[in-house]
Formats: sequence, structure tokens, C-alpha cells
Amino acid sequence: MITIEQRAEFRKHFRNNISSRLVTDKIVKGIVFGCVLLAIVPLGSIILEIVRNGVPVLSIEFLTAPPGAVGSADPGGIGPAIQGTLMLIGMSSLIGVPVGVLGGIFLSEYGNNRYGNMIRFFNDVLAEFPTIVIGLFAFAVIVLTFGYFSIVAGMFALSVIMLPVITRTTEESLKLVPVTYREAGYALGIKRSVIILRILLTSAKSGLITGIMLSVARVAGETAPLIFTILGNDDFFSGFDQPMDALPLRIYRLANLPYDSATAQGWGGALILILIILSLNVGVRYLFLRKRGGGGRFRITAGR
Amino acid sequence: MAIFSGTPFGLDIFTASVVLAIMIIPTIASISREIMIAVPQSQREAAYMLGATKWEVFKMAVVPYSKSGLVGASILGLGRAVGETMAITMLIGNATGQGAFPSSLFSPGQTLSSIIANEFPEAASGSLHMAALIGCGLILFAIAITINIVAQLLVSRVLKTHQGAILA
Repeated sequence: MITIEQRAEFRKHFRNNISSRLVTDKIVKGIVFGCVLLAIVPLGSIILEIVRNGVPVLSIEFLTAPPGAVGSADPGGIGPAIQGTLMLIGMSSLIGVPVGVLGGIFLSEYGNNRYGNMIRFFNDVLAEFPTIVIGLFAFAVIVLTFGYFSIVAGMFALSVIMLPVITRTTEESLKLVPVTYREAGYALGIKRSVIILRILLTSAKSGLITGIMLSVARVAGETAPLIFTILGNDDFFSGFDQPMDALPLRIYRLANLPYDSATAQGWGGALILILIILSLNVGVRYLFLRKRGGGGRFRITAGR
Repeated sequence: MAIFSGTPFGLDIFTASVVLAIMIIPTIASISREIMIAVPQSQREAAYMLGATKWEVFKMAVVPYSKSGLVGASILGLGRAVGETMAITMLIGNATGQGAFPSSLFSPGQTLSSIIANEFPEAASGSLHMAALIGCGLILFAIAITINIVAQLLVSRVLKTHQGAILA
């Protein structure tokens, strides 16, 4: 039974007849679909361009040799940059992952109060923060204090960038574990800490690893903070108090050089960077998630 | 018209803007998606029950519920754009001096972050130049934190009222 008020409400919202409403619906659907295409085209085009321009320069020498003199006939390679990027990823994960995961545990398990909300809020603010400001921060705190540019400063800046991403994804994937799992643990008389470490973390493993890999992908491509911290260098790693090279930095430098060979090498570097991130992702997933049909049961999607 | 005057060279504000627009699409899209998922299904079902088409459901049920969150998502995208450094440094043309005030859409310009990235290698440690660059960083910091806090407040307000009433 439709009341008069309901009919009035209906008329208010649907003034036109059904066929023109359906046409509007179709048009909007077309527009939305067109926007999706428009958003996906750049992605495909980026990958296509990088592969097309990057593959020709690939060679053993390109991957292992240090860069040659600027503009010389022998352009050298990007060996130090690859080494630097791998070291930076490893070292910043050493700080970023434990602190981020523990922070996520805190927010998810102990953070249902005012402090938790406050930390969550500022964590989200930090996650979207301009990385160049974080780079300046690392410059002021580490480089100016010690008096030299170093990979340690780069590690510090990158782990600060990593942290909010990992904290957030850890919290979200822990929240996805059903409360009955926790209750089952309590019913067996297990301590809270053991429940968190043994039950929750293993159940949410897949989400945790997704989060960590997201943050690794993010810091691996970071350029701006590296200018202020590791500075860039043409040589392989030679000590924790020396400037260091990294792929994004090298790509930036190469792309700005007015030589065709340098630009081509820049494309090659971009291709290598993408391949490194991709293979790290696949490798880590294979190592940690191959058992028990894909590891943890509660996945999170990429999200923010 | 002054906005379109001059010869496009490629390294100008227009190119940088287009690339920035592409770069912030994922941020805005994923947060908007998260927000629209947070709209209770019952809201949508109510609209469907009235005989609404998909677009009308979106207009009647989803938008009113998530309006402030969608604005927040866009502002977060803006925050991304403000701090983006390298892509802009490579594309904006890095004009200096009086020419840095853009006269049209197709003239080179500079941004706070592009100044810092460009001039940092030339600035001596402890000099006034370095202090000025870190000062640019401070202004950038102030802008970014304002934008981010406003945006996060808008977004979290929607996500928090997951099962609650509509905050229209």
C-alpha cells in the first residue's frame, strides 16, 4: 500500500518519465566508463613506453658497471644505483617494518580510545605528507648533526615514509580477523600477547605482507628525500658515512642530461626499478605465502 | 586571452598540471571508493525499492551520505599534488627571477618543492641560501599539514559514522 506521502516523495525524486530516466542512466554510465578508461590509459602507456625505451639499453655492463663520465662515449651503467636502492629498501625495512607492525598492533588491539584515535589521525596525515618535507627533516636531523650525507640518513627518511603505510595496513588487516578468533584464544586461557603474536599475526599475514610490499614499492620510487640525504654518487657502497646512489636519483639525473645516451639509460633505469619492485613483490609473496594455500585467510586490498 | 598566450614549449605549467592530474587520480579514486563502500547498503536498497536507476541511487543515497568524504578525498589528492616534487621539477620549466611569475598557462613556472629540489645541490651548508630553502620547506609544511588535517577530518567523519545516521 502506497501512502500519499510516499507518492509525493516519489514524485519529488522522479519527476521525469521512466524512459528519459533510463536514458540519463545510460549516459552517466557512459561518462563514468569513459573516465575509467581515461584513468587507465596513462598506466598502460607508461608501462609500454618504459619497456619500449628501456629494453634496448639492457646489458650486463649496464646492470653492473658504475656510470661513465658525463657525455663520454662509454656511458657506463647503473650498478651503484641498483646496489643503493636494494640497500635502502633493506635498511629502511629494518626500522620501518617492526615499528610499523607494532604500531598497527597497538592501534588495532589497544587503540580504541582517545589516544588511539589521535595517533590514527596523525598517522593518516603523515601517510599523505609531502616526502620532500620529510627529506628536509632527515637532512636537518641526521645530515646536519653528523656533518655528512650518508645512506643512514636516506634510510631514516625512507623509514619515516614507510611507517604510516605499514601501521595503517597492519591495523586494517588485524581488524579483519574475526573477534571469535580472539575469543577462542581467551577461552583456552592464552595470554593476550600470545594471542596477538601467534593467532592474529598469522591470520592476518597476507594483509601484513601486502602492506609491507606497498610501502616498499612506495619508498623504492621516492626521489625527493634522497636528494637531501644520500646525495648521489658514482661509486659503489664504500661506508656508512659516504654519499650513495639510488635508482630514482640516477634516473632523475640521467633524464636531465642533454645526451641521448643518458636519456636512454634513464629509461633503462626506470625499467630496472619497476622490475626490482615487481620481483621483490612476487618473491616475498612466494616465500611467505606459499604454505597452506596462500597463507593468511583475511586479505586486504591495496586500499589507500 | 592572457591565459593561453605564448608559444607552448612543453615544459610549462600546463604540462605539469596534466601530469599531476594523472598522478592524483589513484589517491582520489581509492579513497572515494573506500568512502562509498562505507555507505550502508540499506540506503541503496531503499532507493532501489523506490524504483531508482543506478544513477539515481548514486544521487539520492550515496552522494548525500558521503558528500563531505568525497570532498575530503579530493582535498587529499590536492595535498598529494602540493607536495609532489620530482615529476614537477622535470616538467614545470623551473623559471627563475621575475619570469617565475607565470604570464600564461603555457609559460614555465616554479613550485615550492621544485625550488628546493633544484637549488639544494647549489646551496652551501649553513648559508642564507640553505636557510631560505629550508624556509620554503616550512611554508610547504604549513600548507600541506593544513590541507591534510582538513581532508582527514572530512574523510574520517564519514568513515566513522559507518552504521550511524546521515550527517548531511
